[in-house]
Amino acid sequence: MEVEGLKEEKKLVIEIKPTDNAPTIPFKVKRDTPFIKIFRAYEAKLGVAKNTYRFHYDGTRIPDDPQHTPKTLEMKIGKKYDIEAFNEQLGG
Amino acid sequence: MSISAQKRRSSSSSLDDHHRHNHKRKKASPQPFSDDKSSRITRPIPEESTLDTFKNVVMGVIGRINPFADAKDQSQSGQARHPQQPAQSASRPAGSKRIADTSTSAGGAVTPADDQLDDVQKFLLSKSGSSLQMLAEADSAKYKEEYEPIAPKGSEEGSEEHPLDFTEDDGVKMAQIHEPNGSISGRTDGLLASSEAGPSHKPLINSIDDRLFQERFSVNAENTNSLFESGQPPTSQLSLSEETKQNSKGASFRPKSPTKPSNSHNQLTQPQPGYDFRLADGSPYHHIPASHPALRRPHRPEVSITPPRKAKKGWEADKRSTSSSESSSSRESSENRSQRRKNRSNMRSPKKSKEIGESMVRRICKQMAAQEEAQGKEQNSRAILRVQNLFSGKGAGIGNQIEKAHMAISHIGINADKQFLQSMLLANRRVTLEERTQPKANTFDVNGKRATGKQARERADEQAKIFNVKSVLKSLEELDAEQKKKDAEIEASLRPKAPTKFSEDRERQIVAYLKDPAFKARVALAQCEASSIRRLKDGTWLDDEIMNFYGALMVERAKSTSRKVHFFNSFFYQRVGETGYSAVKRWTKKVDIFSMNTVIFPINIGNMHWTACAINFDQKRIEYYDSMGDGGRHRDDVFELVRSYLDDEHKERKGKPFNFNGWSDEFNKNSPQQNNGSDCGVFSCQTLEMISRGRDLKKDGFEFKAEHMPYFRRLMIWEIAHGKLEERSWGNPKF
Repeated sequence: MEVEGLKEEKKLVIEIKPTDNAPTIPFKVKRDTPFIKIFRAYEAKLGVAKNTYRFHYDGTRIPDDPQHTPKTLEMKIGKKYDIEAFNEQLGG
Repeated sequence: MSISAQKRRSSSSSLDDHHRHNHKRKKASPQPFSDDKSSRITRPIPEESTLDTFKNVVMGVIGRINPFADAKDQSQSGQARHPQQPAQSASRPAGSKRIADTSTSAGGAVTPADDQLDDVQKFLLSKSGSSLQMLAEADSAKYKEEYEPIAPKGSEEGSEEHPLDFTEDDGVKMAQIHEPNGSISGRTDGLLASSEAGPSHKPLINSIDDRLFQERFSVNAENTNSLFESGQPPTSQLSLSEETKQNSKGASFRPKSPTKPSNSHNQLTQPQPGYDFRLADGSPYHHIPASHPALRRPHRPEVSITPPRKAKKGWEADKRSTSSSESSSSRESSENRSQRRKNRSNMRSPKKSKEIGESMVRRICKQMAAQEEAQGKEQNSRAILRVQNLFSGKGAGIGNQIEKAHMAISHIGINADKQFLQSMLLANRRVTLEERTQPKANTFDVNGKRATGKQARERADEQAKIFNVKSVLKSLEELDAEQKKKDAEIEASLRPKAPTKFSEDRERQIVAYLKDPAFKARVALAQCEASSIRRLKDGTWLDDEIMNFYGALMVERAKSTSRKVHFFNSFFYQRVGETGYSAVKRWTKKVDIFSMNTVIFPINIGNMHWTACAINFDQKRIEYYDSMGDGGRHRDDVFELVRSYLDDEHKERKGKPFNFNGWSDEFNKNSPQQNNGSDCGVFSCQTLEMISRGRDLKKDGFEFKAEHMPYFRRLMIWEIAHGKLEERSWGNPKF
């Protein structure tokens, strides 16, 4: 999904969509901004502890590592991408 | 026999004189063998004649000569000669006549044995013992004193001129003459005792004769007497001694009516003429025969201890070894009642059984003799008769008798069985009181009874085994149980078993991983933090990080093999269930799940339970495994969702609905169940791991059980920490 005016800024939108009732928050980030910054910011905004959500992109986990950036996931400038935030699953 | 030793000694000197005189007389009076009859008749040589008769008997018994034939011939000849003096013999008493006959008959045959007279006498004396010798000495002394002057006269002039003219036919009168004090002459056997005409030598010979028969040939005096008493003519069954006596008696005895008892009858009451023995001091000598009741051996009481008849038990030993009479009766127990009674009575009286045994022997011998005679072998028949006489004896040693009998029979050439002979002799044997009263040792055999009891018990056990239905069923159950056990063992041996323990080094490493707060594991965009790895401790629930990380490990491992495995993370089912296919449409934009061998994913139910699901494209199965049994029937939803997803996915990717022909849903085939409330995640992970390796769980079953879960928790820690799955050494396929 393309978003207008982002191409000039050379940015893209990462929208984090939680599976629970938490609010969806879009983040305008650069292509080489680590995902961990976005996730921490999201958690900070929601006021929850870190590692509360598991962020997945197209069914794949995005680890909490600084080397993982939109560039590594081949995300393009000027577009909006959805990141799913799953709550922890437990079972016994 | 109340003669004192001194008296006998005093009379011993006269014995020598008597002998000398005898010799002299014999030499003086020539005795040609084939002399004229008259001279022989008028020559009474009583001692020689009687001795010869006896000698003949002895020799006959021994077997050198046949006494019967000789004696008979002589007696017949005597009889033939006798009528030459009919008037004299008619007027004479029977006794004297008899004497003449005997003397004449014996005289001819005796002459050659004259020289043997003294020898025989000595032999007999030595045999009969010292007391008898004394007696004989006394007798000879008497003879010398009283009869010597008379006897020569008689010998010269014949019996008619005997100084004692017997005009009366009664023995009592003669007794009065010769035995004035009325002493009773102790003659045993009527025959020789009745020869009163040659009196002086008679006592000596008779006493010797009597004893000899008693001791050497064990003459059954009782039987003889009884036979004579009954007046029965002598048969071949008679004993040898009887027959010889009868023969030596000659024809003169026969004229006496058989109904009238002979002189031998009631010897004690009828005084015998020609007996007047006086001892040295003049007192009359009473000769008491060996057959006198007072001298007889005391009869043993006829005691018969017959044990009560019982049915023979198995433990009772065979009684054959005991007395023969009893054994014979026991053998005949099967016969009729009367026979048994008879036998019993036989058993009670040994005498009767003995008689039966004797008669049996006699009968057999008689038959054998008759056979031999029929074949013209008279010698053999006579020998058999001698054998018979051996058997009819009393008191002789059985062994000796057997030997004699055997020798005699085998000499004839008849095959003689020694055992048979022994049995016959044993049948004759008198059972002693000790034997009777002795308790039979083998009637109750303890060991035998014990063995019988054991046998019975074993038999009962066998029968119980055969007929007890319950035991049969029980044994069948046991067999079934055994079979099951064996099957289980075989199955266990076939099925690889997961180990239960780690090595100590790995344990220490694992503990270190768990304690590390900065633990981080990464593999193919999957991550595991320290908080998650600690959930692999015993008794804690697993979270999605471990499940997905483990899935990522499986995919990584499959990449190095030809097997194509796709792993959906634990949120796949959640997304499909909540949002539908549209939520996961982009998840497979780089993957074609229909080209995969299998697609595996864990399912979290209500954030409480982990299950495992697999789409098996090889076997066309949708498999769902729940280690808790799926009480809430989640499988229905799972199968429905998976089918819809497959259909949508197929439509999305391939443009057409998925063909579910041949597809089936499998739930919990052979799935082991957890034994606690925390291991479901481990179960799910390991189940998916086995499927990823390509194990057909429906066909081959599981490789682990609930007891292996602690090991798998450690193993998962190890594997996550190292980012690589360990080789399943116990698994099949191993990978």
